[in-house]
Amino acid sequence: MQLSYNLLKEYVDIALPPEELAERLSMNGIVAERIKPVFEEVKGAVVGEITDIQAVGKSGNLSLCRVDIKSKKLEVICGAKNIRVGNFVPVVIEGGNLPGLGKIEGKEIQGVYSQGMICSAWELGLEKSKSPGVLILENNFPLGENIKNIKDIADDVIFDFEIFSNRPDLMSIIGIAREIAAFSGKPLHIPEQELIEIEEFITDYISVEVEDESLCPRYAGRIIKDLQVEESPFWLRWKLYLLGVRPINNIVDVTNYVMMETGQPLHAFDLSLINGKKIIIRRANPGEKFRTLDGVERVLTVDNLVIADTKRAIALAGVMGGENSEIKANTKDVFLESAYFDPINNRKTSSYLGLRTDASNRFEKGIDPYGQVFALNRSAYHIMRLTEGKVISGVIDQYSKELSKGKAIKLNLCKIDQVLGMKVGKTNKERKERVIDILSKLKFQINSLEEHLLEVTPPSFRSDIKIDVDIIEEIARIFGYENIPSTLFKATLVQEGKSNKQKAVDKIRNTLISCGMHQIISYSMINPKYFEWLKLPSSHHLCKAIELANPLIQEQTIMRTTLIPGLLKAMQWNVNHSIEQIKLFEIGRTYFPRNGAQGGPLPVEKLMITGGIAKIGRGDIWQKSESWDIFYLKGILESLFDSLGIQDVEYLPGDLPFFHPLHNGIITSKGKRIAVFGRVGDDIISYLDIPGNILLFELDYEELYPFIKREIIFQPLPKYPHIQRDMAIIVAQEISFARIKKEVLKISPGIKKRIELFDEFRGKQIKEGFKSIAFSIFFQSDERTLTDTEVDKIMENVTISLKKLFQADLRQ
Amino acid sequence: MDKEMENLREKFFKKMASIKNREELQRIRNEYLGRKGIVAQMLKKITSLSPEEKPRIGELLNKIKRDFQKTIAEKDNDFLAENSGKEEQVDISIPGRNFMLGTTHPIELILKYTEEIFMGMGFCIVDGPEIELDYYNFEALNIPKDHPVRDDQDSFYITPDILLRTQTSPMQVRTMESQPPPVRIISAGKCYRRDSIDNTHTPMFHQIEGLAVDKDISLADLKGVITEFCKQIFGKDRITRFRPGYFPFVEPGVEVDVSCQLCQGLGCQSCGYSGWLEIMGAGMVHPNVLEMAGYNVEKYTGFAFGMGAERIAMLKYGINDIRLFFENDLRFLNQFK
Repeated sequence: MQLSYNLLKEYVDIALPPEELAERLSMNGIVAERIKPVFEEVKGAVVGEITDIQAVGKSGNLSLCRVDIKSKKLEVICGAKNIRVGNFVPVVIEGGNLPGLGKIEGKEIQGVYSQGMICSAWELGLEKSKSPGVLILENNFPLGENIKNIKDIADDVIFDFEIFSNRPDLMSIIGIAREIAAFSGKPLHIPEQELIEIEEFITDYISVEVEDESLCPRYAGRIIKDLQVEESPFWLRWKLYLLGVRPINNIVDVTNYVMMETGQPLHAFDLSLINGKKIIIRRANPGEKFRTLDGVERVLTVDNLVIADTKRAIALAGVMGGENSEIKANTKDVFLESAYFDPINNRKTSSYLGLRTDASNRFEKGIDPYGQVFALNRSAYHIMRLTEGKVISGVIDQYSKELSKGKAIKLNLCKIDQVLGMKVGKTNKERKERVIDILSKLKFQINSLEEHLLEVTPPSFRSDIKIDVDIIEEIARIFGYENIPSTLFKATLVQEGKSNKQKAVDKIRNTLISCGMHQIISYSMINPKYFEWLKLPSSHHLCKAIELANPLIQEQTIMRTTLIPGLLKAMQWNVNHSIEQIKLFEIGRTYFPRNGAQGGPLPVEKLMITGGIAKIGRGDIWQKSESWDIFYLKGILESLFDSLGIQDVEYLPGDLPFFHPLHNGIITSKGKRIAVFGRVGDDIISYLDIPGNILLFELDYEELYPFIKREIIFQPLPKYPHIQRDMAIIVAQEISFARIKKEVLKISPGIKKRIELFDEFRGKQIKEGFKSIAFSIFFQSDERTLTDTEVDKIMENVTISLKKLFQADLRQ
Repeated sequence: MDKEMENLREKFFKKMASIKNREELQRIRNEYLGRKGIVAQMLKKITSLSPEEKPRIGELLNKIKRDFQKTIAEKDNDFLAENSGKEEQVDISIPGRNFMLGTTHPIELILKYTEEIFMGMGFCIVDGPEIELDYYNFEALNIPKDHPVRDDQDSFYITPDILLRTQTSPMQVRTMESQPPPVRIISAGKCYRRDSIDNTHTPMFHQIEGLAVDKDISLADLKGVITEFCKQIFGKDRITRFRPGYFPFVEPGVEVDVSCQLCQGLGCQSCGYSGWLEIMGAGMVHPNVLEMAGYNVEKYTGFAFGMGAERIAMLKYGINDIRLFFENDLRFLNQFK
């Protein structure tokens, strides 16, 4: 809601300067998003009188104007069509400045040197977008005076207030003035306006039939005859500029001004264009076509309410008028409409048609159902004064019996203290007085007060006040939130802050960060093309994704079933920004349709932990020369399992199509699949245009969680020294280290053994199809110091066993 | 014996005065303090002394031993200090081998800080679904269909009844439905709105929701708890301001501002010349919401608040573009160590 300081001062006395007023209002819930002095950034603009106009150039679009600015006469080129000799206009002299255009230079146009420029409202910063024509001032303005010195105009400040959607009553000058009056205690003035009616009766001119009272609980109208449509006088145009409304003509300007003044939207019809002397408020026929004032033809449904005559629709109720009945230059008689339309239906219509107007913006939030005639009379009064039109006697005012007067609300005064956590008054008497004072200023009607029980009726313009806490908020607002103390809970509550399942997620995150990985967060909505890129067949369970009914962009149309697309995207981004060492992980949800009705209507959300590493280019050799291969990635996973106390895991060859077939693993624990890992396939890497390898893992938290060991149990340190033996064997390539290790552990089960790999080697010295594996075995007993002879004997058995099972050759 | 000891001292210190390097020092150490050195040999002689003499001489000899040790050690240090620099000098300005620290995402940092602050005030952390019923996201929060507030929260729908939650507030109702009062919870997570991407909007963002319901919870408690939170997260010197706000699921409604850190409340570009930065919406839980969740509105009151984690992170760290959070650029992530 845009309005100005001076406009407000016409309705209420204001002692505070504009900035302080804005600050004070924001503490009452009306926030000024913008405060701007009128003519801000305007420099060197003065009042001038046009004394001569001559066409220049061939096109005839430009005129040479002679402008008298008292101290001298200027020659100015102007393209506007709305200028006449004798008009007073704002003219900026070369060297001046305009907010819309910056510094104004004199320049030659069509062979004439223009010494400045006649300004439009937009150029002076009064409008948000350009409109044709220059700003015509009033002829009593002091000639030659800088416009920044003009009294009552230039000293104004424009506010742009944010109005909460539950307070449509504040979308008006009177509404905001009323709030100021309530907190300042100053009286509200609403100028009296006396209407003079002629001896003809409205019922002879028109009748109104409301077909659907629920959608139009009130419909009021007046007729003004024999008027002259023309440009509004300066004072009215000026007020509209201050309110952010573009002036059109005197009739439309009056209806717009009164809407801004009272909050009641009005519409003016050309009476001669209403067929059959009848207004019918009805639902539109299915498929009914209607051209609104903006020239757009709209196709309506039965859910749209129209204002019609006996032949056709003439307005889209509460949204916009029609071209077929609009006010034109030759309009003589006008029917003024002032109605109350059902907010929900109005909102449906304007959102269905994508058409939001100042009127619909008020109707949809719920205006005062008792303000129609007041606004109608004010409009009629202004039109009468401005146009010498004649006001026909009587008002049409049809309203539904359902139209409610405000309901009385009971409020226990003790509840105020309880909700606010303070005493509003030192004594019960003081509290009572304060509450009644605040509510009276806000125009609540006090019905009764017994002991602590107050009964009030909110004013009709406050449809937002429904129950007692709504009234408590009013009291708090005017009392001032800043005057409420700050306390901490009286009662303490002991509970565990996080569940074990939440804590384990924190642990996983910390461990991965300890491994040097960076946490990322990527979008939950992904591009379904990723499934294709990842070569997942459409039957794969990961492709069964939830689709958005109304996606915003093509790249985000489905809910992810894996975090891999987001991770790859982040890797790609970093590669594209020349980052060479990339270690990322994400802990986030994936989303799957629910199979069957079990578990409720919502999809399944599963937490996944996905990580990826890539080393591009040479890397920083001094810092780290390690190679980031599949064992590096596996090392991260092993560290993670180690930190979670998960011991019983098996690494098996995997089958995911996007991993390289030979670097493709799954991880199981007790037969449950808890993770996948591998090297992203070469074709995918080249498709994503990443130079180098990417290694990924994805862990399913739901599957992983049951295996997490929560308690740490201390193991006593060994009392006796261990004995270490190294061993190197040559075996066929398909014999895995895991199998060898398993066999070694089986031998002499009474003695503890730990096996550590120190080398795996294939190549020239080794026969084709074979590999060398070297490892250390650490022998340990809890009962005694082992002897060399004992260990030698075990080693012998190990050698025999490996030879027998795997045809392993001992390497010397 | 006493005489012998005196000679020993004299000789030792004389020799010490003339040695030139560590090798000579080592020789003297062996000669006097070695296993078969002079001092050791003299100590052996003690056994042949009378019982009265034994302790006295023993003590004197041990004193000699300590003095010699000390003198040798001091001399050794002198040599070391002299020699340092003569050996090969390492270039200690060469960078160490870096461990390449991992980092927590800045949004996660904010969620963690926030959760910790509120856990300290007795709140517990709960999680809720991101794909949510329209009922919990709107209706149960006093936002029926066709309510104007829905305009500000353009939603992604899966079906007409199921959507991506636009706020974390549905967890207020879900929590109250699942447990009797008292309640003190924090629920944080992803939310979604159909906003086109620009430097202050992304279609996905994170919210942090809080709810406390009990007998005798008041607006004053809300002010106290939020003021404490703001002090902990933004710093003790920041001022918190409460003013009326409108959210259909609270009444009275509250908007919370903190003083701008750049201008200390004087007004600058970053705070829109107001001196204040909006950080959260809050209020007393609307009786309709308590009632829909099955709580006795005569007995219980509560407060709720909600804030955007991105907004808090942007204000706390001075980040000027919300898109940075989801680009996952390592040059960005690496700054949050």
